[in-house]
Amino acid sequence: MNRRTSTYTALVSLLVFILIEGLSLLLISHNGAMQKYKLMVGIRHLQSALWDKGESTRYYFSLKQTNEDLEAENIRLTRELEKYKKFAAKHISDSVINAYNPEFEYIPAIVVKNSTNRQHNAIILDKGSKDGIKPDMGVITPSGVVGYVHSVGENHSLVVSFLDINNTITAIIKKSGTFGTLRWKGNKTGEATLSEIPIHSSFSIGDTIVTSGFSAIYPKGIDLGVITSSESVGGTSFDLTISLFEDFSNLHYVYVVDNPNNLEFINFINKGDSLQ
Amino acid sequence: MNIDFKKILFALLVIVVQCVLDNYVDMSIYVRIVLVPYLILILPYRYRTISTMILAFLIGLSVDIFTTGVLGMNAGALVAVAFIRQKMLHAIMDERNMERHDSPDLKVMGVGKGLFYIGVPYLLFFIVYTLLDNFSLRPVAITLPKILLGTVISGGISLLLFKNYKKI
Repeated sequence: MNRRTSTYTALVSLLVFILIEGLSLLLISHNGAMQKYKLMVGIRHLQSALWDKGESTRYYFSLKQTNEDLEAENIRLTRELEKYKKFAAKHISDSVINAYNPEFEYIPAIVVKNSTNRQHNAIILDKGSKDGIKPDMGVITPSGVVGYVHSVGENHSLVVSFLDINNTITAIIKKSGTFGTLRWKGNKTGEATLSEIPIHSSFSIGDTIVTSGFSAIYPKGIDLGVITSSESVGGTSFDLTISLFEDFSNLHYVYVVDNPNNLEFINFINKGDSLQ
Repeated sequence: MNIDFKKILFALLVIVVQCVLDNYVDMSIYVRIVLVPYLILILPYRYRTISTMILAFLIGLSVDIFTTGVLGMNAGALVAVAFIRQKMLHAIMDERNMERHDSPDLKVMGVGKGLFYIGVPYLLFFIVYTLLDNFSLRPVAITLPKILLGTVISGGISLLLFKNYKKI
């Protein structure tokens, strides 16, 4: 009798265990950062409020570093602008400059939550649909690519970080123009792999790699990192280890990239896929 | 102050420390310090598996809400710890000792059994957590050091807390 009772208890425990684990899986699949940001709106509001407060505190202690970074970026941009102004004054008429529409618009945003220690990391920004953020917009900083917008709430948006082992971007070696697929390695926040580089292509350690502009999500030519080592893969291609410029553990200000032509681009890609 | 109230406060403190660790302490991609399984392991013997699992789920969920934002990750991993707790206690303790004492005690268990009692649930916690995060243990070169380092460091801290728990 006693034995039967203990078997019964063990079975009930197992059943409850399976039920609770199932509930956990259900929560993850429905509420996981990669899946559906819009669910659990109430909890998200609470989380966002707490994260905002936490981020403000963290930001306060990193103000000095942030100011230095902004100052450096300001100097770089001023110099670049000066160069272009001189060039434009010599070679381009005012009417051409005035008629030019930039391909990308930039929406500044602040990171309120950022994870770096998981296989699929995500970032929450303080801007949402009210500010013009839409899914599939790129997120960058002057130091590189941060990720792309996955889903958007009214006041916040969820970004799939570049530090997600499934996230890839097309990058090119600045010097040679050879392109490959850049993917986070998954072990160090500052390192990624540029793969599928043809064996005949020329590159050297220290060469800079930049965004290709093929995707229409990220502008072309953003510096991403430098080559630190290379490894031959089956004698047919190289895998290059890239030391990233972006410091993901210290993200604060980012720019969301709005490409008005992105929708047209995606339509073309879909048409191309349907042809195959 | 009532001793149970003191223990509830201690449990809340551990949850808050866990949230602070997860949100603001970024040691390395390989190291995550986890303290919440310790709360499950020190529960009194009278907590049976089902009630322990429900409590574990609620503790894990509260950590999920205030840290990763992905509900179910810590909750699922912690429920696995709760599921094996009674089985482990029965495997390493005799019934008389369990009747004589209110809750697991390192002095009664001994260091060897204490290590086993802390180490195995922590290992299980990190394996389940990794599986829930990635739905796979690959790439092993990354997940294995993560699991082992997490178990050793978090388990070590918990062992120290476990040693001094009766003083609380």
